[in-house]
Amino acid sequence: MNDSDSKAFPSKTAGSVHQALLAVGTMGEFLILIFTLVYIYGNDFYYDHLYELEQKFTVFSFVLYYMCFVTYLIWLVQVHKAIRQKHSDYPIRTVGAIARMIPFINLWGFSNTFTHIYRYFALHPELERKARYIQKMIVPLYFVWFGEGIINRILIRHFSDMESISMLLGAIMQTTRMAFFYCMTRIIHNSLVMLNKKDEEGLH
Amino acid sequence: MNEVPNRNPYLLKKIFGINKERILIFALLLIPAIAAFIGTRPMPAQYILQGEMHPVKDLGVQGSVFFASVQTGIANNLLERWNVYSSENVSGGAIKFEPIAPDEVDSYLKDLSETDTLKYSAMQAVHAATELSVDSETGGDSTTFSNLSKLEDARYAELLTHLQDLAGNSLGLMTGIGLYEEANNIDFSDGGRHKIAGSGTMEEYGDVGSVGGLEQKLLGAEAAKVDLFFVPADYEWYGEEGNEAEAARVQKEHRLKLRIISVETLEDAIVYLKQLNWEEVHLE
Repeated sequence: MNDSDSKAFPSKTAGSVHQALLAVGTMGEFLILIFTLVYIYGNDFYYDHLYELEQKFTVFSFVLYYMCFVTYLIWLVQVHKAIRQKHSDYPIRTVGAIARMIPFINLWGFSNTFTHIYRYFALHPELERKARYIQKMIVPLYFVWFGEGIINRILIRHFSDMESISMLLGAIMQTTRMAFFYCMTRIIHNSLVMLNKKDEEGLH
Repeated sequence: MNEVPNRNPYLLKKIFGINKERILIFALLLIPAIAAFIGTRPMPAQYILQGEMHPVKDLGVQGSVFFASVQTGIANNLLERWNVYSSENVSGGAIKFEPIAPDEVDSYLKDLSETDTLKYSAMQAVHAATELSVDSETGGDSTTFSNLSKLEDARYAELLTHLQDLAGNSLGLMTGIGLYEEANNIDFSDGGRHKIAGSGTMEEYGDVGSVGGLEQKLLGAEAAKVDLFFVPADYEWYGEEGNEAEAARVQKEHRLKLRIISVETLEDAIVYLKQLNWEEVHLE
């Protein structure tokens, strides 16, 4: 990366870093999912061999999750900066992008932000396919973002013996959530890279 | 003159593929890695949760008083401490962690599961309560040793059936008071209007022995709106380290409203309850 890159493409570094953290986070969550399966189906083996290792991954993933949240916000600001650099009439400003992620507002803001992004990408013929992917991911993202808590509450309230299923479901949801965010970040990041390259080629 | 070779700014990048982004990612990943290291580093500590009050009726004793119990266990590292906090939904002084040496963990866990001291304390409670009851009924007249022994054995055997899931010996004093109420058909709580609880082991000759986790028991008692709480009078033996001093300290620190009474023997507790003016207690 050099200075001219970062000027032309503000979200490049934030996107790469956020993407890398999400990739590591997804792997961590996947390992925790495996540990959970072993816990449920091989309790003795789990306590003999995996308990201490899982503790390490649990702390690692927990801290990484919140770090990803911070890098996500930074990346989102940079993405909007990048888009508005190319299209000054893009309706969401950087402050607006952050405001849409405030708890409760994000119930609407989440879909609104990504809808505008996919609509913007859809204006570029070479990004149409990526725009469709983003569009299709919005509803599942809501599901993995908010669904875990709701399903867990229902399970625990109505089926007191469902603790292991609830644990497994929680691990699946967390892994899926990380994976979805990784995919979303990757698609948006790569789209911006493509747009940037196209602009550079046009300039040359 | 030899020329100094130009430094290639991209040399590191070419050789190791290192760039700013990768360094940043690596540095950021160090944060959760360090957190994982610190969070799971062995730091064993005994935890004691806020006490709960159990009626002696749970032990099959027809008394009105309560014994305090605490839930204890081992948290091996900071993560496990956090799990205890979050799973028990407790805060502040309601939970206490006392660090222990790693090589003491096994013996601590063994102590937790042993029941010999519990049985001993229960046996002494039966013995002391029976002796006091016989004294109060007969005024100290002769009751044959074998009759007394049979009475005690039968009561102790019945009591044992209720101690299956318990550990620790701190219920001795209150069990003794409850057994005295049962034997003499007395209700010290005046039909449940006053809540009497306490903690103390029962030793030979009706002596009350010191207990652990008193702070959490007192906090639990205050939360359960206990009016009167018995603690072992052990200042003479342990000074500031004992239960008596601890109780005074906890009462001052947490501004507890309950009345704390330290007793040396079961007889002291019974005598105190018999002469107690409840109006004074409630006026405090």
